[in-house]
Amino acid sequence: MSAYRFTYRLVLLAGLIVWLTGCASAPLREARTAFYSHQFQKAEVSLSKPEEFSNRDKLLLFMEKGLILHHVGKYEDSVNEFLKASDLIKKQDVISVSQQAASLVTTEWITEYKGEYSERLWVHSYLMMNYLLLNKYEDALVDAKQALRLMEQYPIALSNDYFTRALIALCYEILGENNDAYIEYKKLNEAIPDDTAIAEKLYRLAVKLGFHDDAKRYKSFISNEKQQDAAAELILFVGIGNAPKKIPGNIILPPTIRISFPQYQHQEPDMAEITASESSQRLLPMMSVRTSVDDVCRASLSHRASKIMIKEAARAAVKETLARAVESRNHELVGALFRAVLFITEEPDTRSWETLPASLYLLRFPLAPGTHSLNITISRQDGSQIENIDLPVITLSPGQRVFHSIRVTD
Amino acid sequence: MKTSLIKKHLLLIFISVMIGGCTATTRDISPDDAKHYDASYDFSDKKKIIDALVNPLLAQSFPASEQKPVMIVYGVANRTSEHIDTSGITDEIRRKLINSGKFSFINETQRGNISQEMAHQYSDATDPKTRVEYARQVGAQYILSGTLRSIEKKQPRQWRLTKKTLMYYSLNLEMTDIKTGLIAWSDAVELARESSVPIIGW
Repeated sequence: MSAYRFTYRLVLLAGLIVWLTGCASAPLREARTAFYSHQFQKAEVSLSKPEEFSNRDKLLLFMEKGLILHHVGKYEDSVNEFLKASDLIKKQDVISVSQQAASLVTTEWITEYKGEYSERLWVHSYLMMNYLLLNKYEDALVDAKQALRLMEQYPIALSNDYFTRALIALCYEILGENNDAYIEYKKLNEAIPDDTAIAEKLYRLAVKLGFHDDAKRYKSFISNEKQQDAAAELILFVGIGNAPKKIPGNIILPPTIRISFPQYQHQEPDMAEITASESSQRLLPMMSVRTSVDDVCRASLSHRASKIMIKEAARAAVKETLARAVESRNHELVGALFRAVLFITEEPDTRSWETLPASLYLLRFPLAPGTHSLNITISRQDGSQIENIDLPVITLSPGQRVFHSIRVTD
Repeated sequence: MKTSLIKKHLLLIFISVMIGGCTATTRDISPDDAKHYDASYDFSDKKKIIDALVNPLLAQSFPASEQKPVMIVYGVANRTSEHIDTSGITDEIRRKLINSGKFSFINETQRGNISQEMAHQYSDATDPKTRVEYARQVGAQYILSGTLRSIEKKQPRQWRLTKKTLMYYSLNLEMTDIKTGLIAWSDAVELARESSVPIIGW
């Protein structure tokens, strides 16, 4: 092969890789920008043509679209997108030899995005929320079980997702599967730093199930005024802030070996105070659980870190072998150019589900049966108000639960 | 020359494989044939479950009554880890029981429409002679309900080329006497299947 033809192919390869890492996800970028600019319809339209997306980014399409549709209250449509994501994740269990081989000599961007363990879990969390908002409790429990399976599969990476664990327990509880609900609440209580956060729920379930010793233990954590059983309930799902973004990290081994890996950009913890009030009377939540999306994302990525580094080392070895082979058979300049292309194309896979919030909250407010006009205030730690929302007037019958989902972006 | 001929043959084989592999095909299959693509619930399971439950129910004798037992379906609760439309099971069981001539069923799903139609008939728009009489609907004697459960077990992580999954399903169906609150009949059917999928693909 002539040096000219080889150089030409090299430039083509470099161009292809630049295109893969950039332009291919243009509609996704548009949708994310529109979402964070509160142009939700535009965000939805940007993702309306799935045929524009290559298989590499299909999972991201379903996850981003599902979340945007959830945010605008199109829960049925959101379910459809998240179900597609869930099905795709199951299909992606098979390791593609062609994709892995191609990625060894080019970049990870050439492979299908499979989602971090945390993102796979949150597909089920959003499905649970959607089903609960649609009063489809049996379907919510189906996804609770699928989420539980993932939590059991990756316990270290996902143990700090208190929000999803509380959702799973809630799904069991709503369908009267109190024993399973109790087990999940107990696991949550063991994982969560605050001993009192779940105590009231555990106390009530222990009484129902006849676990008197446990009931006695949990009773000591709760105040007397909270020991009355609530007749009805408002359950709030609140997402606050913007998801952490992945950025490239690099290790350079002189002269030209570059090992790159994805890492999450540092962001300050997004703590907020969420209060519900009625006629200026503040309501006390029976349960308040928060997941730091940032923490769980980092735990998931670091759980995968060893696999990433092994693959990166293998890619560096393959590229170095190729570079030496080209240098030995071609002009010095062609060899240098080839090394430069390999260096530039070594781009870490920084794809991620970017419309996720920074924190997910689950709050449960006991309410008396009847009509309620509630106001929700979300404030920062310094006291500055982020959002003030008047919920639609709700009429609750005894034992009824109503769900509401709120999202606040930066 | 020889190399060129081999290249041409290889290209021809490649094109044939591509065309053959990419051609969309359809064919009819019998719903009676068991067909499973993986370990999860499918139409063959539904058929098996229904056959296994309907026959014992038909053989069951209920307290002596002048009329056929009147039943109402309250559905099969899905407690599996899959999104399964269990109304397909109850619809088919109901159809088979009605066709046996041994049971009558209340059409619970049409209650709203029946009330609407009655209201219309008793409005000024309908000839009074053609109106259906009020308070002539039949009350149900039995509730037919059930629960579909599943247990899934995946092969533990180890060096292997395929991933095995064990799936177990059980459907418990019961008839509750509305007058006494007692369970008049109950039966269960179980299915278990192992599937294997490759870990590595093209």
